[in-house]
Amino acid sequence: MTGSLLPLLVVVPLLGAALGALVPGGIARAMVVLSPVLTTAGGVALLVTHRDTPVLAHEVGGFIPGIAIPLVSDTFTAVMLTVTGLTTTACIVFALITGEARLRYFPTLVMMLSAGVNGALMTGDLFNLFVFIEVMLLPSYALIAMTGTWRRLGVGRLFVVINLVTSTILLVGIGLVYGVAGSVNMAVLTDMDADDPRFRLAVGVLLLALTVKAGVVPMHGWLPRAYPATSATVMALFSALHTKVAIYAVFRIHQTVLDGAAEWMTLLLVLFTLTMLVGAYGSLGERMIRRSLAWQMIAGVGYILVGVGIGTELGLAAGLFYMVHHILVMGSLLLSSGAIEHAYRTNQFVGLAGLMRREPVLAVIMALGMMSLIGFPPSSGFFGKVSLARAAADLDGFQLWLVFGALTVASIGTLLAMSRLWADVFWGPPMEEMPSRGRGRTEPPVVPEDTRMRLRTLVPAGALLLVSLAIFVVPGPLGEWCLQAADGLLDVTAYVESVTTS
Amino acid sequence: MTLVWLLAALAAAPVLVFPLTSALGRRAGWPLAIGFLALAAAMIPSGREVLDGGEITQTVAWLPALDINLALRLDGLGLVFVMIALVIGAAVFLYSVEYLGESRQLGFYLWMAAFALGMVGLVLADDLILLFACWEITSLASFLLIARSGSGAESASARTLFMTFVGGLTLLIAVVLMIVTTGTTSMSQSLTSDVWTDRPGFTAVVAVLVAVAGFTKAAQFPFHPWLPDAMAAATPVSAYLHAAAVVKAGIYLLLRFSEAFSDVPVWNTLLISVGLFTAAMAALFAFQQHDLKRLMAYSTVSQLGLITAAIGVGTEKALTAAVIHTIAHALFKSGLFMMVGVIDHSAGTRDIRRLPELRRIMPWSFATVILGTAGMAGIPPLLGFVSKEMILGSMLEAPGPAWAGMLALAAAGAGSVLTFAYSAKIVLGAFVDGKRELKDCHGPSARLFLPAAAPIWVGLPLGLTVGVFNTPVERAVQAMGSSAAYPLKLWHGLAPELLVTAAAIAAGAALMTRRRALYRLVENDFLPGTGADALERIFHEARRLGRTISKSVAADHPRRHVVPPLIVLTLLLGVGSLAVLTAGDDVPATQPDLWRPVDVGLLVLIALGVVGTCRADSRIAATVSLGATGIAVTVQLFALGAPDVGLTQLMVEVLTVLVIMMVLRRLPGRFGHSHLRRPGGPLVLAGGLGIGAGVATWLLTGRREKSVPADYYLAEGTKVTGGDNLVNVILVEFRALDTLGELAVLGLAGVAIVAVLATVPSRTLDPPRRTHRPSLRPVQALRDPQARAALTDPQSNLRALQLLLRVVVPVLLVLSAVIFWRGHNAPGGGFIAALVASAAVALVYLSRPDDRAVGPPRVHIALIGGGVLTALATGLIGYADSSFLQPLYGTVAGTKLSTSLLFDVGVYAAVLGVVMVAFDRLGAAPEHDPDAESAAEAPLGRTKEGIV
Repeated sequence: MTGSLLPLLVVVPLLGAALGALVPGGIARAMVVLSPVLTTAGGVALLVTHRDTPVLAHEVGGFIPGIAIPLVSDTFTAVMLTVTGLTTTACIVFALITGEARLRYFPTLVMMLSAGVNGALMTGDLFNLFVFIEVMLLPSYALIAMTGTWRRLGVGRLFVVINLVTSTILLVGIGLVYGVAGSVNMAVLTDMDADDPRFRLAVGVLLLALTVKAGVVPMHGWLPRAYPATSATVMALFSALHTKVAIYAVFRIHQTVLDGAAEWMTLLLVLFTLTMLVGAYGSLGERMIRRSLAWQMIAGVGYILVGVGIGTELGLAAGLFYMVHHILVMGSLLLSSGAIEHAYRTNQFVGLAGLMRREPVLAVIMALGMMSLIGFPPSSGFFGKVSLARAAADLDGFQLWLVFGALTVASIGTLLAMSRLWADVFWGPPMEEMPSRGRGRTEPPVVPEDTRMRLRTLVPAGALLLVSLAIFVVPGPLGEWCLQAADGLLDVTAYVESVTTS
Repeated sequence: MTLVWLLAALAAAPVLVFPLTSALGRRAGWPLAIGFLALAAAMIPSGREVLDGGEITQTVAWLPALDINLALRLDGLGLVFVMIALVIGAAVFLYSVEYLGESRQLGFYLWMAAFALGMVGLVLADDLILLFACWEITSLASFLLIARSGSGAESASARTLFMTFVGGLTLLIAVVLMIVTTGTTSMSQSLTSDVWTDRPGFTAVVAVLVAVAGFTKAAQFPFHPWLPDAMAAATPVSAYLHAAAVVKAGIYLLLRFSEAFSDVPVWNTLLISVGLFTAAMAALFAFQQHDLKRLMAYSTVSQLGLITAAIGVGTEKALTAAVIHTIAHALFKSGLFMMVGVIDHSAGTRDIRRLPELRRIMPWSFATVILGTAGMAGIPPLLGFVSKEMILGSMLEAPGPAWAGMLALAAAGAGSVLTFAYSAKIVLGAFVDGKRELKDCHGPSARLFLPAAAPIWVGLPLGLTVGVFNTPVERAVQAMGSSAAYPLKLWHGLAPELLVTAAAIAAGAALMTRRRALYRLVENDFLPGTGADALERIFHEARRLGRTISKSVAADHPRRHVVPPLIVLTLLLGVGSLAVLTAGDDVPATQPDLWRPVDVGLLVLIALGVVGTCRADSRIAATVSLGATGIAVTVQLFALGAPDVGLTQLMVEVLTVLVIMMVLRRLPGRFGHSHLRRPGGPLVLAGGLGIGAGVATWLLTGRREKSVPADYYLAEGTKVTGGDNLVNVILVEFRALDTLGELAVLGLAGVAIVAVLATVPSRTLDPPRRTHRPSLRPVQALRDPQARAALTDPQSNLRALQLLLRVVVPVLLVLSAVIFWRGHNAPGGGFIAALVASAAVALVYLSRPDDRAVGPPRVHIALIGGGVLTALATGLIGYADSSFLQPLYGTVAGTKLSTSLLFDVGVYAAVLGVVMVAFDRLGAAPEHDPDAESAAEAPLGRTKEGIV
């Protein structure tokens, strides 16, 4: 792959989005499956390319470096493109199976979301990052309000408002960076003195906005409120794309622009470990599958960002490894919940019971998914947890025990939350014999005895899970990519050279 | 047989279980048992090599990035445990065939096979992370085996998982610390590192972590409650669990790590004290039990306590004793558990209060249980006697002052008394005492009895010929870093331990003669609650914490969620600005001429507009204030000399207000917000944030020369692009990618509106009628027909506007075209031009008496899609040269043209399209059919939560 092809990763899905609005629904649905498959293929091609060429850059429009907007890909980008593409594919296939994709303009909106994601992952320009985040957000405003419970409309407003405020902060941050540095090109910004308090403040505002998007404590509350009210498909998409792109940008900007060196590392570690803990235990307090998982998303954000807080090569690599694992497993679990909802019309604990005997395939998929989330073998979560612990062991004193303590307590919280979910949903009496716990509006729907899931609704979740299991068996390549990506974040010479000379 | 093949064969077992159980049902235990025995036999050559003093290693890379390998190593210690896992496993499988119910039993065989895999992997692992992985697998397998035993076992299995998981976490921390400090993932290298002698503090920390991990699995106080809890599982599971697998994993870990820690005082103290306390405590609890299985469970806890204490002593003799007792315990405990199952099968109960005098019909079982319990109680000449006596003897070697050893021996002796007592209770309770009639009991079948009895009976000859264990145990002890093992003998002479054993037997026997009184004495619980209760309490508290956390954000109103980011932003701006001000270096001076008087006036206007918007209770008033703010900002832009941006802003403001007005028709007239009565908090936040933002802006902006890109645009912009209007050429050429993105955002906003509205029935969009009805009342009250018509008849009402249109629309269209065309060189461009055209569309729409859309149906979507497509296509043309979005230049009829003009056409179309969507979809009047009224009464938020 060559650099000049990078824009196509944005152009193709965007073209699909525009065409999708004009052509008949069937064709649009064909395109919407194809688009993330192409993204995944592009990601894989880039992974292959980066074995020899660590960084590919392209100045869009052919203007001189520093003026043109650069699109850049390194191993980090390629890994993210691949895994987000893969997860998006699974989500879309699920939407096709459940019929959600038949909603008017659903394909168009999803393809635009993909275009935004791909752009945000590749751009080397802060303002352009803002633009691509907007490209992601706009279809999301619609998607969150299109399917799900009636609450989706109310929380749609919450989602819009919180993102508008956050985007404003992001834009202010970018403005301040330009005010101080006179450029928003990341490669140019590496020349700035990372110890200059003015520059730091400007970048700090920028990073703050990104952490709000990621759902870092104490700015997390909107996420478990908003996401579970939309459909499982959309939540799975958002889980794989929105929070993760924000995290990606935090990794990228913190390392590339701020050079990762700052005495606020302890503060960051406190915030991120708190995020782990709050997410893990918040999950325990919920009585709906997807609400519980929404808190796990927050916990995951903490785990991933602790990698940045550790800041070493292994720390960054471990964070990235955890991110890949989390995207896959969260996608699998959310789509499993979607399959439950498709068959049983609810994801509340009170409306579900005894699914282990009733739906053995689902039980296997979700059990393995939850094990992966907790960090048990044989799943990607095992290495996610181990590599984070291994990276944390390089820390000293307070930081060391802070991370170890949080890792322990948060893991226990996740274990308890998942045990509870399992006990309430998968154990217990057969659903027809459930004691009626009718309490007005929360009364569970009556489930006919012969209601069963259709196996194909479990295919996307199962496929993502298989990837997670495969990572346990053969973790080598992913580990290698993560290390390479971390190297690229720590030593930006190749990145800068590629952007400023291409 | 190589180690990898052994593991591969064991890994294949869980897979083979599927076809085996579907073909043979519960009889799948036979091929599995044969397979396990065959594997044990196949390991004999390797075993012989190990016994000859060698060791076998094999390594396959697993995660090279972290230097994690599938490193396997067979030494003396591993050999002992591998053999226990395989042979006891085979016995349990044989027994299960007869014991289990007549069904497929897939889960049982599957998890048992996985269990064996985990256990063998654990004892073969030479990589610290692989060790941890196998450790977790045994945790999981035991959880699954317990959980599948019916609904009563579910909460017990969750508690088991919790306990072993906590131990797993401490083990994980221990191994990563070891890897970092000793610089290797290889366990054998890590354990022999110099670190353990050089850094006592660190060593103590790791030793405690490992000890805790070992305690959780080996069910040592205070982590013991899970093991009696796990009795809910089927009997073969318990037999394997207690004899060969999970708990022995804990013992294995402690044995393995004693190589590094046997001289560490914390390790010695912790293991000896916890081990002996557990041994005595659990023996007492065991004596309390009526259920034979629970009794056995506590006896396991007690026996493991002894082994733990011996490991804690850490001398050659103690470690030898620990290893040999592990073997002895594996034999008699697996047998005894299976015998309990035999009793259960024969008499239908395991409760000794309800068991008849079974010795009358089950003499062989009687003899077997006597033999097994005798081994447990340490009665000569059984293997259990040899091992137990060695443990007692090793207590005297406990590090520290001599009285410590005496104390340890005394404690172990006290435990032995109780051990004898509960062993006797098993025999007497099951076979001797009892009033129940025997008629509904039956003797066991040979196929059930033989696998259960075999492990117990071999204890007799092995005790007499204990010398055969000398070499294996010596190799095992050597694997733990000791130079030689203590010789195993049945008769050690008149050592103190023999006296203790004799005393314990005598005391125990004496106690049992008064057993009825004793049973009554211990009948009541000693403690207010059980360990399970305590754990459930922890779970309960954790859930409460969880509910507190999730409730703390349980609000859907954006206000609740916007405040935290804004508070953090305020803090960041405050702290950051202070850091700038207090930093040593001077802040660069501001550029000259940044301030003009007009700015102050505009600032005041904007501020007033914002205050007005916030204070307004009527939605219309708020909209007007917002519009005023927007206009003031527009003026500010013009004042700054940015006509392009200013024009755009102006058009956007006008159209925004128009669209808002259309939406307002569907909303109540007033906000009715009560929070404004207590505006203190928001005001403080707004004030703080405003000051922070102001200071940051003052400090961070306007303090440098023109930026490099700015200089470039000014110097080269026109030369490169041929356009004089730099703002426009930046938008459509230099940063066309940004514009493409924003164009997509704007255009797809139209699609989004259509998409969302399509999922909501239109009637539910409208509020109940009463909120907008009042405004019509004065009109209906009007008597004068002409006046009334003027207000209510849309036709006549719109005449003036329609007349105006005829003039204004053509002018606007021409204006739009001109603005578009000149955009490249003068203020203008596609965006502004489209907004001007939109104004024309808005006028046409407003002049209509009905709510029909402007233009043919779907024209707006076509405009949006076409616009984005045009822009993209223009970008792709750039590939004709070198890059996406590269503008190509040419001269047509003497005018220098750029493909960016085409790009601007895309912008134009998309913007026009989105404005048309807004009018079309949001402009339609609220419907008023009576059905809609009732449907609209139910507020959306209160409808049932369920998938729609």
